[in-house]
Amino acid sequence: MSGPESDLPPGFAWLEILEDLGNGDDLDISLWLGGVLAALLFNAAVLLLGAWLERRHDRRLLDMEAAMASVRVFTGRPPLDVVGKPQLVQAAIVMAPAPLGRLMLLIRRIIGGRVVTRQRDMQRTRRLALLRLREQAHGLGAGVLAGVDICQIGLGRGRFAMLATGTALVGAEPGPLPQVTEAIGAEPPRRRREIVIALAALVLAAAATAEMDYLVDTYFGNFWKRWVFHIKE
Amino acid sequence: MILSTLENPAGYRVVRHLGLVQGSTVRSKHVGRDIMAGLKEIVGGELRGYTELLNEAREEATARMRAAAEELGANAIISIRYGTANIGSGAAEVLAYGTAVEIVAEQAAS
Repeated sequence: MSGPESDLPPGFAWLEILEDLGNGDDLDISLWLGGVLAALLFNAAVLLLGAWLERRHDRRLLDMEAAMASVRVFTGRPPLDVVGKPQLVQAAIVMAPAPLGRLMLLIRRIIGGRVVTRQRDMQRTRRLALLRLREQAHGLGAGVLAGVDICQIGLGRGRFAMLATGTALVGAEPGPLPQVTEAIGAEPPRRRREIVIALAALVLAAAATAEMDYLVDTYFGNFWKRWVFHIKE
Repeated sequence: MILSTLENPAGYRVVRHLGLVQGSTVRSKHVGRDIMAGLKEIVGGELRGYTELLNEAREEATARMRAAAEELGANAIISIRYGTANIGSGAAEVLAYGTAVEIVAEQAAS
């Protein structure tokens, strides 16, 4: 690192560390700091982008559910008079978990407890599958979906698929039944708190990595870095 | 042919049970779709390539189940259920099964 002859304004002296990246003068600081900072910034950006996409999707889902609320959904056969031919409707969805959910799951694996973000991911997928089922029934002119069945499967790496099936009863008049959407009973989002926890966990992980790197260099030397980056003494 | 997830389709009466019919398929997507899905996984959300894969598999399994029912001389399949399984990475099995029956409209039966 350069010394007091720095051209940087007061308060920005720490940026000098970045100037030393890769020149081998200050391997102890520059190598780990560059890598750890890059990883921290990338993960934080992915986390925030994922949370924003999730929030946007949630809002769109609410609007679409409200538009399709007139189609009533039953797991059995409702006691209604039907005049049309029953039609099979199906919908399949494959989802990847939001990065926030993945990180919160890692934290929960250490401290235990309810994994709300993951639960929300599953609910969102189920809601989307049922919404697509409602849309198909609506397209056929049916007001009632009977015998609805949901089957789900984990596809590894946190991905999961939902397959929803039902029978659209064309000509059935649901009558004065309440309009129930899938949003009822869904987990309320507390994204701001979760993002703060997740970002704090990322910073802690970065600090722990840096500290570990410092300890390794102190007690075992940094010869392996010199060997990896082909830097001569 | 009438396909229904219900045991007793509304407006119809079952006159003859012909037995269980099923259809299954295992499908996979090309490597390009896998790469796109891998990129989408970074930020999360729906993996449209795999959704499409599952939809295609479901349609094929349903078509096979329907062919089996036609072979038995059925005019409807009732209590239809679907099952899925993950066969390695990027490939999915979909199984469709139900009961092949002969049904008549309730007005015609009475």
